[in-house]
Amino acid sequence: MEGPTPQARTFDVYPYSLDTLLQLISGLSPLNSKEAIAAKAHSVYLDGYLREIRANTIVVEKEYIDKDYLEDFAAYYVKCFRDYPKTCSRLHFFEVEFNVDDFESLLAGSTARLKAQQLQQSYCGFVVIKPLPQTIIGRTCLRTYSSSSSRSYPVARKFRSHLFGIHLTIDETLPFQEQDNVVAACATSALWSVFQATALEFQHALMTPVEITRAATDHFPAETRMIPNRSGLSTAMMAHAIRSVDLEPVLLSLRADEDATLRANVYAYLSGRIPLLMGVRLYDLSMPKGQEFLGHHAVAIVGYNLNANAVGSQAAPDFQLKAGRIDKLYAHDDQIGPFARMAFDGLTVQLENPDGSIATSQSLSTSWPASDGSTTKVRAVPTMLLVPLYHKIRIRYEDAFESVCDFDGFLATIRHVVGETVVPRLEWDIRITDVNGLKQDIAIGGTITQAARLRWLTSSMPRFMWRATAATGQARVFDLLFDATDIHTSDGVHAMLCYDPTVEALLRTIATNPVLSGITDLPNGARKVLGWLGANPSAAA
Amino acid sequence: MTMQESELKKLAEQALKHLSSDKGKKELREAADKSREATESIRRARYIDPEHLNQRFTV
Repeated sequence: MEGPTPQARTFDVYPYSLDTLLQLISGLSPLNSKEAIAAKAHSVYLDGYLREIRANTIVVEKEYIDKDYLEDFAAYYVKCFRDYPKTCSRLHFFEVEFNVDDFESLLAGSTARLKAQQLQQSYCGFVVIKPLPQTIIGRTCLRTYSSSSSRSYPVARKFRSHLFGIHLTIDETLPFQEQDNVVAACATSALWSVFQATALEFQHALMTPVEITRAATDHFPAETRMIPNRSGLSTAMMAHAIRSVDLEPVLLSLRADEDATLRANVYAYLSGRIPLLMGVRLYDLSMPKGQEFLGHHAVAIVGYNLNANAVGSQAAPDFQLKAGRIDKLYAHDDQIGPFARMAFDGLTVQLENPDGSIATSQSLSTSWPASDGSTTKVRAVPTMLLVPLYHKIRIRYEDAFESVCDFDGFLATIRHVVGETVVPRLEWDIRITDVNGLKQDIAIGGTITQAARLRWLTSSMPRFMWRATAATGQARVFDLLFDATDIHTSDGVHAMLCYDPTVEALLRTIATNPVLSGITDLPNGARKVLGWLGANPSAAA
Repeated sequence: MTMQESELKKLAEQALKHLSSDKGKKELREAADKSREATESIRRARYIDPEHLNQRFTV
């Protein structure tokens, strides 16, 4: 039996460099010159990113069928007079250094020069190259920067890819792609990345960019033409796209004069593995005549950095919220790249109000290129957050926040009497969690007795809870759990889980003392928590 | 840190006595006010300017 007919090689291997990357992309996407690709912000960003994750070798998969592009192609490009290809190319990046002969030997069955295991262990991820003019970055899965105690990408997940029969795994990533300006705008790309995470978390169908744009605009028949999409999506359209996958959009508007709300909500949802969409206004500060408004832009927030030494803005005086220590956000910004840094660096911009007055606004750094070529002078002013929630997450963040803040106030009052050695000053970590995440955490990290561990792990709990962990330094003192599936008129406290026996015993003694019922000035949240402790005197630890 | 039950009981009684006192009540009211104010600041994010809904993200 004859083997396959000899043909041009369907792959190539190159050592990594920016010049090689640009040359390859322009060769694979011939409607773009190398210079045009070099001028894109993605090129500079990806080069820095790939160097950081130690990409040393590129394997080019010359023909790759990408589902997202294929859907976009079927919906639009195939009907163009010009003959756009239906296949893409894919660039794979590896830390290990090898050449085309090593790789060819491996594929032919010899492992003397290169082993599949070496590829698997050093895989950095891939970038799909689309055969379109200007907008070329397709589905991109690159591993995150090496983890640290401060940097966190809660929605990143394990991702598998296959290269000529070799199974490859990226331990931690979330797919990214650039808008094509035809079937997708920036908001579409941000939604697409967000759905990559929520589809897994809440089991909904994955949508391609063209499907997202259609779902977003289905209910707006009087709007201007949506495909080709030259005018972007509105907030309401993005909310409709979220509804189309059976999730509930929660819209939060952000004020220019404070950023505590942004940090608190990003932390609360993202650490519960729910990504957020953030709308920003972009300003270029490099213009000779002052700042220039570039437009409204949407990104997907997929990570954050907690600065242990930061004194971040706090939601209330003397109320220490862990979220206040967020000093950087990581965003899938379709005009820049995956996991792009946006820092709370204290710089402000001047905004003109509708009445002509000038207001100073907090802003975030971006990696956008400014008109003078620098990448530090385009600022983002956050205007809104859009959170895609599973329908059973009903109780709002601020309801849990208020109860926690009330209880913290009660603890501060008794701290004056019993001392900080008994009731220490606390930092609060408020986040959404599901029952499995909570139980897994109790199973691996709790400092509770065996009996308590057994009781908590086997007890029935709501699927979603607001979890407020009170800690002093690295030591957890207790968790307050609020049933997030409840009705808002209920007292909401599901349980209190104590790690510190002294605090637990003191609070239980107070909660069961009849004198407590006569203290009418007790903040409502404190009454709820103490009420639960009084009704469950032995269940906290 | 663990404490004797009698010590804890004494501390709990002192705490309750403070909470029942005028000073303690005042502190509790101030704590509730601070909490309300902080929550209201976060809750304000729910008030959506209709203009926001139609804002197009275009760049």
